[in-house]
Amino acid sequence: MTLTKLSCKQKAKIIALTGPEPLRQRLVALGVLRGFPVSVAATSLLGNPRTYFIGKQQICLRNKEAGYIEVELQL
Amino acid sequence: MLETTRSYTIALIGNPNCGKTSLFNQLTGARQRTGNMAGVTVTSREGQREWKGVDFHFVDLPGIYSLANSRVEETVARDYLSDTPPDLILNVLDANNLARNFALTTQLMEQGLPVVIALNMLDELEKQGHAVDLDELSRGLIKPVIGSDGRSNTHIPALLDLLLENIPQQIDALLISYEPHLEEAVASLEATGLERWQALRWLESAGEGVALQSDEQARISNQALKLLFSRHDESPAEMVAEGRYGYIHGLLHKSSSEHQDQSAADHWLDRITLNRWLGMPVFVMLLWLMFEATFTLGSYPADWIDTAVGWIGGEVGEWMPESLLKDLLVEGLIAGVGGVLVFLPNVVLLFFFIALLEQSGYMARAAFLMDNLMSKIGLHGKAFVPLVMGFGCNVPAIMSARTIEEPRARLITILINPFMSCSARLPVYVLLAGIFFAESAGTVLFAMYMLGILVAFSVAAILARTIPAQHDETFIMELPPWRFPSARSMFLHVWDKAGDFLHKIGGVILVGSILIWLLQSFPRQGTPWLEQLGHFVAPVFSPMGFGWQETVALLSGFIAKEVIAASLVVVYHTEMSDMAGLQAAMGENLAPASGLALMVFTLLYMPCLATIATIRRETGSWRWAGTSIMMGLVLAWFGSWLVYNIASIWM
Ligand SMILES: Nc1nc2c(ncn2[C@@H]2O[C@H](COP(=O)(O)OP(=O)(O)O)[C@@H](O)[C@H]2O)c(=O)[nH]1
Ligand SMILES: [Mg+2]
Repeated sequence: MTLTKLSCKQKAKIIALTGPEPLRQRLVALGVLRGFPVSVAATSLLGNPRTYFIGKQQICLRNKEAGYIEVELQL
Repeated sequence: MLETTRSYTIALIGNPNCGKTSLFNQLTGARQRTGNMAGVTVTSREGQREWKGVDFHFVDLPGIYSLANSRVEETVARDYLSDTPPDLILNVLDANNLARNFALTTQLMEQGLPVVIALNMLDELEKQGHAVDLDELSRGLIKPVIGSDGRSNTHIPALLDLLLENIPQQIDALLISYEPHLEEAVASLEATGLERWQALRWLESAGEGVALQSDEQARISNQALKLLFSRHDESPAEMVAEGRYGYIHGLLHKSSSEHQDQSAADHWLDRITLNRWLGMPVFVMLLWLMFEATFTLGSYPADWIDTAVGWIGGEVGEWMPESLLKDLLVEGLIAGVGGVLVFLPNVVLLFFFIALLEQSGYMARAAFLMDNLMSKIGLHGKAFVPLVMGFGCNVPAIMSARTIEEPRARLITILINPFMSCSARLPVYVLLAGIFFAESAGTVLFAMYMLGILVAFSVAAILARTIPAQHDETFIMELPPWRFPSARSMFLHVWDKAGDFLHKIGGVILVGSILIWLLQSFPRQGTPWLEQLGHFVAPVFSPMGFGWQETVALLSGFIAKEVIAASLVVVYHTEMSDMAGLQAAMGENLAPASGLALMVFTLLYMPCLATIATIRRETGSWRWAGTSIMMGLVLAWFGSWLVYNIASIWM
């Protein structure tokens, strides 16, 4: 599933980055990489954008970009 | 011992918001603006420091995540490194997020650049109960590593010594072994004459970060890249990053007490400020509180200044013999300059609050909250930051729009910035709100700022629908941790702003006041020139109920908006040179609806000269500067006309 489908309180792990190359490069530079744990940190009023804890940082992503991040739920 | 003075250049490089500018200020004694968010420093800054007979020349570069990306900041830093290689790089790291910060370090080391590493923010790390073994890190990297603190200067001598010891530095480029297919690609690029780091950078930027020399080189490289893409789902950037993070984890495993992939701690402040339902109301409340406090807290010291100015005026009036010079001093200089000086406390408070928003980390949260709304007008959340900075002064705010990549979004951000009511307009509001709406002055003030935002957004919405976008800009933003603002940098910031304001009072406002007084006092017989001019232009403004006095004040505001307040004081000169007198005189002459309209006109009409020059420079054409002027004038006239007519019905 993609990161947009992740609901609050769920924990997941990034399994792949898809989408256009410049976006991937940008995410990689920020340390958004395969294998990193991710969870939802905050949701704005209309549900877009949201912020996520990824690794040790809190990153704000619009749903369009978050849709390019494939994750897998962790129990 | 005879020695010619040596001089060395040292560049500060690091991720955004890791404390480079703070450290730069400590090292050079400079006072560059710092802020708790990415993108405060957009151009490089330079400063000097003499140490043990050596001249150090420090350069503060914009924060970057990687040398391979091609955003503005990265290009500035990369060009700097290749065009004017520094003698040494001071790589500043945020100790709280070592893995990501080290990713940049490995890039520098792979390139074989001379590096000294400063771990910043160790205090925060220790507060969370973690520790890093600096010696172990240093051994692992084979580079000097030192702990530093952007907020104190105790470690600065040790840091300077370390820098001195490391020029020149013994360098072996770092060798990280990557995934076999990637290594294969690197090898084939190296065979065409590229260095290993160039090959890596070219691959990780998918063919951009390095300029290739020959067609042959390009052919082979593109072939290797294509092969790599066909063999893996991951892009080369990810493969390179994975290799680097592998190396970094190995390094940190030995030296850091922290478990590597731990999640950032969530903060109670985030649970309120980023709360889905509370976030927006809290944001609006905070803004309202900011303007209310600016008015109410500011009014006490303002009264003292007012009393002092009144007293000086009275003394001078008593002791000097009747003469033209006395009139100039009392009615022109003291009244005009004093009339603006009174607002110093308000301006200082406003800058204090803006600095507070920046330094604490709330600004980035506001950007997040505003993103959805901003996306409707062709902008994204980050463009909100220059807008809030515009409340202080439009000039640096427009310059900070450089961090916005997409040309249309940047242009819109620049053009709507003058509608963000800068601190120069504050005196006019405070004056008029105090006269006409004394009961609810703070709220009126807040309403003016909101009106400015509303107009800015409407204009942006229209511009976004008329100018075509060049490409989508992705909105990816790191939220910085909450930080308690450092007293030192808050103080310096506010101090500088107060200095700027006083500087303006001593310059343009002083000259403006004298000029207004001269035009008002001559010819000695008959109608003064100023009044003639006022009457001549007044018909333009009469639909809003402005008299010739307001007309003149608005005309004088073309230079700088503080002059409007000074002019009002001078043209309404009353026997008393204090505020109470002016307020009485104006209150008599102007209907409250006109007072409101005057505020609206001041808010919207053309930007001041400095802002126009900045718009011209940042957009590269007079066309947009002209557009900005015209837009302001038209909107101001119709806006204040509308407000006057609506308010007349009500009041
Ligand atoms: N706790 C702590 N905060 C710091 C330290 N150094 C800088 N800061 C704060 O971190 C924020 C970012 O600093 P700045 O110098 O603007 O970072 P830059 O973006 O790298 O130039 C500011 O709010 C600083 O006050 C430090 O050593 N410890
Ligand atoms: Mg900086």
